[in-house]
Amino acid sequence: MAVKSFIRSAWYSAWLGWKLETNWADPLTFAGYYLLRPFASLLIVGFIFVIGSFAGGNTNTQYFTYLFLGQIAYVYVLQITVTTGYFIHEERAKYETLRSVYVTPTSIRPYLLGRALSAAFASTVSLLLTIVFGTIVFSGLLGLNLEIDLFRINYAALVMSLTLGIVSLISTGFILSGINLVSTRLQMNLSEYVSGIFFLLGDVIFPPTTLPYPLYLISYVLPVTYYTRAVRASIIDGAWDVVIPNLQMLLLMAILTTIVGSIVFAAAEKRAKRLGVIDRKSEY
Amino acid sequence: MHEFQVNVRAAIARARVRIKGTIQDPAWMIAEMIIPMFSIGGFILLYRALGAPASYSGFVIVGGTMIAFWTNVLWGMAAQFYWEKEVGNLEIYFVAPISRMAILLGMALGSIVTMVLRVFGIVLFGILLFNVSLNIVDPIAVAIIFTLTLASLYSLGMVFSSLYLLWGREAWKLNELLVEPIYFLSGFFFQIRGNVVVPLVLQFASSLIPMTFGLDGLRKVLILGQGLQSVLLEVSVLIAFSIALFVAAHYVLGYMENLAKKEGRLTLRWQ
Repeated sequence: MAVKSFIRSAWYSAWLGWKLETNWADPLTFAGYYLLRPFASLLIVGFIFVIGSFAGGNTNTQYFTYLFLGQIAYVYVLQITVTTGYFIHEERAKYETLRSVYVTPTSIRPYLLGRALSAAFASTVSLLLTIVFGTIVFSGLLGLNLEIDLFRINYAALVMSLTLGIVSLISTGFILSGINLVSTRLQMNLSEYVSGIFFLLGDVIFPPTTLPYPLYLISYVLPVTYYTRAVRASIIDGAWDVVIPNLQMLLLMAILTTIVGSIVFAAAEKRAKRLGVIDRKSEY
Repeated sequence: MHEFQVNVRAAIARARVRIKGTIQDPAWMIAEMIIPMFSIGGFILLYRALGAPASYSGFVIVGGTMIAFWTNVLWGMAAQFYWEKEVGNLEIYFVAPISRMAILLGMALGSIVTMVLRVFGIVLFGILLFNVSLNIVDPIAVAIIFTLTLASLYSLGMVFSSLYLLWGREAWKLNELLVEPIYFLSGFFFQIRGNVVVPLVLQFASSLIPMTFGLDGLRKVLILGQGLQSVLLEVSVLIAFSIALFVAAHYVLGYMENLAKKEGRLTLRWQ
């Protein structure tokens, strides 16, 4: 019964999150909004590649495909991290509804899960639109050959990679929300820090091994590294023997982040209640 | 007291609040220096992986420092009336015998003082971490381009702030849309105008944004070692943008305020 109630709450929270994200605009404006930001990010990275390659006198299309897929996979990372990192501030200070959420029978956890799931769904819209428009601009207009064969993609592995990646990111979101519950100073910046670290160290636009020692060692404990690699391997190569090692590591990371996320959030919640700071606002 | 004096005092008072608030919260200062370093670092390493000349790393640092100002214009200036509306201060501003532009000017001045500190931090990080070298031969040209870029940007911020008198989430989303797309179109990390690799339509679109000219000018005087003579076009365009946007802000603020009053949305929260 408790599980059923949890799932139902999460479902309605996802629906509410979707309404919050979408009901300010008509569908076309909404689609434009969800396309423009990730597409612009892809254009920045893509044009750095084009301009840097032109200046360096060498165009490696294999590397461009690597970049393109890394940036596409990063759409989920950014959207889920920002939504969950900003969640506590939004509920506590912006809409002043955190107290109301806490006094509901299922409390905050299914609500946070639902909001994160709606962010994941919105990211899917962004991702699909970005792939289509990115391919049109870079392959169609700029003549960069994306080395992607639709018939060689391992779709089963891709779905598994995305699912496990989303689980890891939502669990990371629970850690961020837990930190924000007991702090009012970090709420606007925390998600930016974390998504920035994921961008730099998560094998998104260059292999972490190009970073100086011991900085690149951090990438080995980030779920995003294995998520990005698994998505890339599923699309470029597709062979199970290439995909499975990354999927195994991603599964392990998803389990670990789920455990850590639950523990951190529970501890933060307990501390916030003890200190009486659940609904503390801080603005000037 | 003369109206002008009252407005100057209001602007200074608002600037003081901004400076004090920021200094009292060092987490913000540190965040604004460190956060851009992730993308700056990523893009510098990407340029190096592609074998681009060293000056390209300098371009990334210049773009990265200006990100601090652009995000401040968007969230600390344009969106400020939204925050004031949400916490109930907007009514107080409107019943005070001062110009709305004096308040916005105060926000801008306060932000510039704190932002300059952050810019030094970012440049220092760039030099120490990524071994980027600046090539400044004409400091006066640097000061002129920098001042004019900020004047045009904060005037643009005043125009955007008027939208928040009427809108809520729509303007918020518009602000979000002006982040990465403007980074791309203005050429924060590469030159757009006059670049043979960039399609002409993009070059034309980028010319409509004052930041593009500011970045072009700063790249020339900070990284490429050029002087005032080589940035006369950028200086002229930035002067024109600054005047036009400042005048536009005056009229747009008045128009949007009246419209918001008529529609009863001036103090409407949680839109």
